[in-house]
Amino acid sequence: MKLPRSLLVLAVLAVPVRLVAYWLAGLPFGPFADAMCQYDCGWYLRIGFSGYGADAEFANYGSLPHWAFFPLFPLLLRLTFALLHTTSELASQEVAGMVASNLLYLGFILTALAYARRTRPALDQRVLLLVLLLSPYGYFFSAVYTEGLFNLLLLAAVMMLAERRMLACAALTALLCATRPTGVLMLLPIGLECLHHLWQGRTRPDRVALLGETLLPLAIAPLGLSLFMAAQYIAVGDGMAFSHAQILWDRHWVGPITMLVHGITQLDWANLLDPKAPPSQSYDAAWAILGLLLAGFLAWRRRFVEAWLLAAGILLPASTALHSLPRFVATSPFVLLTLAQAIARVRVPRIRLAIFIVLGLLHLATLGLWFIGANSAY
Amino acid sequence: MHLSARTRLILACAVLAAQAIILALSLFAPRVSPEYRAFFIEHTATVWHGDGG
Repeated sequence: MKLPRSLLVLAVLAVPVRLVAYWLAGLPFGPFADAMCQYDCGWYLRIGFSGYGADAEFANYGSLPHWAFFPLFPLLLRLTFALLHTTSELASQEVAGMVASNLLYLGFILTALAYARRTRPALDQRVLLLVLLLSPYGYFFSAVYTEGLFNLLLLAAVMMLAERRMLACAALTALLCATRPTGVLMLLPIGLECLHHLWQGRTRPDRVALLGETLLPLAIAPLGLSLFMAAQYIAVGDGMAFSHAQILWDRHWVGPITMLVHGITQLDWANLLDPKAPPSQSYDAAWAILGLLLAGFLAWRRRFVEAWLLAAGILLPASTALHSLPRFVATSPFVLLTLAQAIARVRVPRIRLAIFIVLGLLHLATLGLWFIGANSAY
Repeated sequence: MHLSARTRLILACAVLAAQAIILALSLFAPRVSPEYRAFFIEHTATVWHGDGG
């Protein structure tokens, strides 16, 4: 899907400009790369540069906690580092990580614009671009986190699915499954599309060709996860180590409904005011519920694949913990597209400007919390 | 790259079978110590958190 040249130029310029704004905002918080590298950033860097076998420096569990983190992003960090020919100092690793993340973020923006042109042709793409740049928690795309890679692959896979290019969709899903555990959610739409293909071709005489066309995407799509499981089985004897290691972060199966009800009834909103307080469970649950309502709206608009990916992408992590849900919801491409559509419907320029100012202020507020390492920023 | 219909089907079946073996080994035959099994496998159900970490 071809994009207008002016929009392409704007998008390409916007990412570094946003990064410069971050640098200016981060001046009081010490070296910029250090201020941007919070929480999981250190895990990804250590896995990328020292490998899964390195000591995780997490109690006396050796290298085991590393297996909770999926391999594609750390691999890309290492590749970017090699391409940049930087030194092996940690600061340079952080810079290489940020270069990788921001290139992936640019790829995500361009894919989102192309996807919107295909699925929402009436949407003003300048509005979407501003939403992609200004949304709260949007700094995760520029930090050493999987947001850019995962959402780029997710949108590209959904776009290929919509165009019935099943092998390309399956290959992208294989990469998605090697990025985050929720990559497997794409397997359901692929499976249903393959079944639909099989049903449509039920009268075809070439049964072997039909079966091959149906089964090959199904075989390719989960490969990223399967290869990661094989690597874990060889290295630590447990192919499900990525799941079992979650207990080290105190994550147990509770169930999404119980978890959301428990979270929203905690009424611990005051925790938001104290950066060092535990994360507010009510706040995290509120984001999850907002995301589920948007998923319901998408289903009502018959965007079933988007609705499934958004809803299941919330319910699955919410079955064990509420932490991270504001990030998952706020950076979801389907939430951002819906938000852009809602803003584009506002016809009064002043109100639209006011909405963007509020979005920008929320973005800055969450970025400030990130810089000081506040629990609610994660 | 063009693959014949037969090759495509054989390839798909082989890849699916290999993945089924990996899954079966992971679920039913982990090669871990009793301590690991007690703490990481039996102590908790399978958990599928969203962030890869």
